[in-house]
Amino acid sequence: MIEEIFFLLVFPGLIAAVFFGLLYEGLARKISARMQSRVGPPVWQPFLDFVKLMSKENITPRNGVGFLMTLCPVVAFASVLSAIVFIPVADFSPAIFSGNMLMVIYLLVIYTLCFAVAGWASGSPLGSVGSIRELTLLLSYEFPFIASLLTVGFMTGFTVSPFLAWHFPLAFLAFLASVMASLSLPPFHVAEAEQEIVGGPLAEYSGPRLGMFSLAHAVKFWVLISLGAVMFLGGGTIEWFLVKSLFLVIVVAAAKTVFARLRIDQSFRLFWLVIGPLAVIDLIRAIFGIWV
Amino acid sequence: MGVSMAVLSEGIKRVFRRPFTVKYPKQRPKLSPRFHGKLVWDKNKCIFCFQCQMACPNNVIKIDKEKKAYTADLNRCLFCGKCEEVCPVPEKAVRLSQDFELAKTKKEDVVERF
Amino acid sequence: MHEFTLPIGPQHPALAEPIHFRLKVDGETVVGAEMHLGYNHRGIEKALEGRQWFKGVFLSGRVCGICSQSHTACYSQGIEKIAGVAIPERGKYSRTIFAELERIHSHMLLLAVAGHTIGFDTAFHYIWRDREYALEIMELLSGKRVQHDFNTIGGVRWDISEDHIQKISRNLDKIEQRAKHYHKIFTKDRTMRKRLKGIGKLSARDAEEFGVLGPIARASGLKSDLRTSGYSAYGHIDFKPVVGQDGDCMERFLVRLKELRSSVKIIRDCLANLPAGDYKAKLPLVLNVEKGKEGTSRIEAPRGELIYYIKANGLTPERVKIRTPTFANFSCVGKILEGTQVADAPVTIASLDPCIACCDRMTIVDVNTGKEQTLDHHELDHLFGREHEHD
Repeated sequence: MIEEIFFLLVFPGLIAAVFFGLLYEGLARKISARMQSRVGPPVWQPFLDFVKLMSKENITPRNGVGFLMTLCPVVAFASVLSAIVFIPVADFSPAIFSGNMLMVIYLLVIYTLCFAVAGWASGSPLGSVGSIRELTLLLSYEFPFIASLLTVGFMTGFTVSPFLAWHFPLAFLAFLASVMASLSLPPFHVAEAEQEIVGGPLAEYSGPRLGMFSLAHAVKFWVLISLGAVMFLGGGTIEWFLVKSLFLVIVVAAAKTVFARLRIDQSFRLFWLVIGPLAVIDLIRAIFGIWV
Repeated sequence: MGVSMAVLSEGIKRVFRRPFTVKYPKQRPKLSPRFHGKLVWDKNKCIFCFQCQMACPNNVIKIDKEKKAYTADLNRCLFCGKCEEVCPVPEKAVRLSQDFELAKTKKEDVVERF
Repeated sequence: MHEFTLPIGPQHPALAEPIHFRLKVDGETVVGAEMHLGYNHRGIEKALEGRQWFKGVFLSGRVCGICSQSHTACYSQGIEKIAGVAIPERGKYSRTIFAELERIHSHMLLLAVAGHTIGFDTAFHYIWRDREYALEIMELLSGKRVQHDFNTIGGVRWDISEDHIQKISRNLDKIEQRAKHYHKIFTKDRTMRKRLKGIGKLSARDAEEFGVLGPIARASGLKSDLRTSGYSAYGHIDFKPVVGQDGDCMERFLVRLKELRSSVKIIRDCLANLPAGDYKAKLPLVLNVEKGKEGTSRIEAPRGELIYYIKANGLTPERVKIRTPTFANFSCVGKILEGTQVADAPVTIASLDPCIACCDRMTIVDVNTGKEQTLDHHELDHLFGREHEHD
C-alpha cells in the first residue's frame, strides 16, 4: 500500500513527473542554446515559468468558452499523469497487466485531443488553424508511434516492460520521430508555429490555464522519455534508468536544434510514406521473428 | 541528411566552446577607438566660438557666453560627432567620450550641465 | 468553400515592423491578399524640408536602421550633384566599401530572419553570429554598428587607414568562408529545401510588370542592378551582377548569398586599389545651393534601387522625395501570395526583404479615407509608378 502511494505521488508519480519533466525541458533548452553558441536560460527556467504563470490572471476572450478553457488543461494534465502508473521504473510497477501498453497510448491521445479542443474553445481563428494542424499531426505520427511500440510489444506481451531493442533500430527511430512530433518539437512544431499563427491553439491562453498546459507538456515529456528508456533501452535500476533517460533527452535536444519546421502536409507525407513504413518493417520482423 | 549531420557536428563542437554572448554588465564590451558616446566639454579649452552649437543637427548644445555655461540636452543628441568635428581648438574643447551608460531615472538629469 | 480572413499584423511575431496584411484563406491556401501601410510613417520628408544640407544628411540616415548608409550616400550624392561638388577618389572608394559592407550585413540579417521564419532558429543564431564580422568592421571605421553617419556631403567622415585594412581582410575571409557554408546549408538541407524550393514563384514577366527591384528582380532573371551604371567607385572595379532564374523563395535567398561573396570581392578590390589623397572635399560649414536647382540621385541599396529627388532652396531643401525599393517591391505581394499556403505566406513575405521603416514614406490614400479598397495589380502598378528603367 505504502509502496503504491509512493509510486503514485513521489516517484515516478506526481512529484518526480513534475520535477523531472520540467527539468528535462530546461535541459533541452540549455543544450539547444549551447549548440547555438548562446548562454541560454538556466536549467530551472521552466520551474520559474510555471510559478510565474500560476500567479497571473486568467483571461477569457469574448468568443471563448471559459468552462472548456479551464477544463482542457486539467484533463490534459490528468491524462498524462495517469499514464505513469503503467510504466515500470526499476522494481516499481503497480499496474502491470498484459496489454497495458494500449492504456498508455490512449491516455497520450487524450492529451492531444484536449489540446485541440482548447484551440477551438479559445475562439480565435489562429487557434482553430492550430487545432486542425495538431489533429492532422496526430493522425500522422500516431500510426508509426503505435507500430514502433507494438514491435517491442510483441516481445513483451504488449506490456510496458524493460526491453533492450537493439534488434529494432528502425522502430526506435520511428519512436523518436513520433515523440518529437508528439511534443511539438522541430521539425514538427507546426501546431505552435509562432511565426505563422502566433502560438496556435494556446494563443489565447494565459495564467494558470497556460501553466497547467505547460505542466502537462512537461509531464508528457517525462512519460515519453521514460517509455523510451524502458521499452527500447532496457530500463534497469534507478541509476541506469535515469542515465538512459538523460541520454534520450540529449538526443531529442540535439535533434530539435538541427531542423527547420516542416509544413503540415509535408509532415503528414513524411510520417505516412517514410517513417511509418520503417516502423512496419521492424514490426513485421518482430512478428515473424526475423533478426538479421 | 549529410547537411543535417554537418549542422549537428557544428552544434556539438559549439557546446564545448564558450558562448559568444558578452555577459554584460560583468563583462565589458570591447569598443572601437572611434566609438563616440557621451558629450564632454572642457571649460578651459573652449574659446566660445559657438561653432558646435551652430553645427549641431538637433539643437542639443546651448552656450551661455557670460555665465560660461554649456548645456547639452542628451535627450536629443544623435551622438553624430559634428560638434567635435567643427571645434577649431586642436585638442577639442568638446568631444564625445566612450561612455555609453547614460541611463538616468529622471528626465531632467539627462540634460548635461557643464 | 469556407473562406475566412487571416490577419497578419500590425503586431505579429512574423514581422519585425508593423504592417497589416489581410490574407483571404480557403483552408490552408491563400486566395487573396490585401496590404495596409502607414504604421511607421514619421514625416521624414517633411522634416528634411527645413533642415540645412549637412544636418539633413543625419536625418536621412535614420529613415532605416538596416540600410542607413544607403540613404546617407544617396542624399549626399544628390546634394553633390545639384551643388556641383566633386568628391575625391578616395572618398568614392570609401563610400563603395562601406556600401558593400552594409549590403553584407543586411543580406545576412535577412537570411537569418528567413531561417527563423521557417522555424530554423539554429540558422538564425549562426548567421547572426557571423554578421558580427561585418558589424565589427563598421564599428571600427565609423564607431557605430548601425546608423553610422559615415557619409557626408563631399565624401566620408572618417578615413580608412592602413591598420584597418588588415583587420578588414581577416573578417572578410571569415565572412566568405561562412557564406560558402550557408550556401551549402540552404541548398542541401532537406527541411530548408522543402520549405523554400518552388514557393512564391515570381516569373520574369511578372517581375517586370510589377516593377520589382533588387535581389527579387535578379532572382526572377532580370538583370536589374544599378551598380552597373558605375556610380561611386563601381565604374573602376570589375563587377558583375548576380542573376538567378527560378524566381522562387529559394532563388531569392541564394541570390543574396551569392551577393555576399560578390560584395566581399568588391571590398577587396577597393581596398587593394584605394587611391591616396583626401577622403572628403573641402567645403564650407554651411552649404548654399541656388534656389530652384533640382536633381535625382539613384543608388543600389541592399533591397534594390533607391531614389532621392531633391529641390533646393538656398540653405535648405525645398522638397525631398524618397522612393525606397521596398515600396516598389510591395506591389507584387498580391501576385506572389496567390495560391501559396498559409504556412508559406510569412516566408514569402520575408523573401521580399521588406523594410517597413523605409516603406512608409508616403501613406497610401486608402488608409487616409478609411475606405477598404482592394487594389488589383493594375491599380497597384499605376499607383507605384514604373518610371525607372531596368538595364
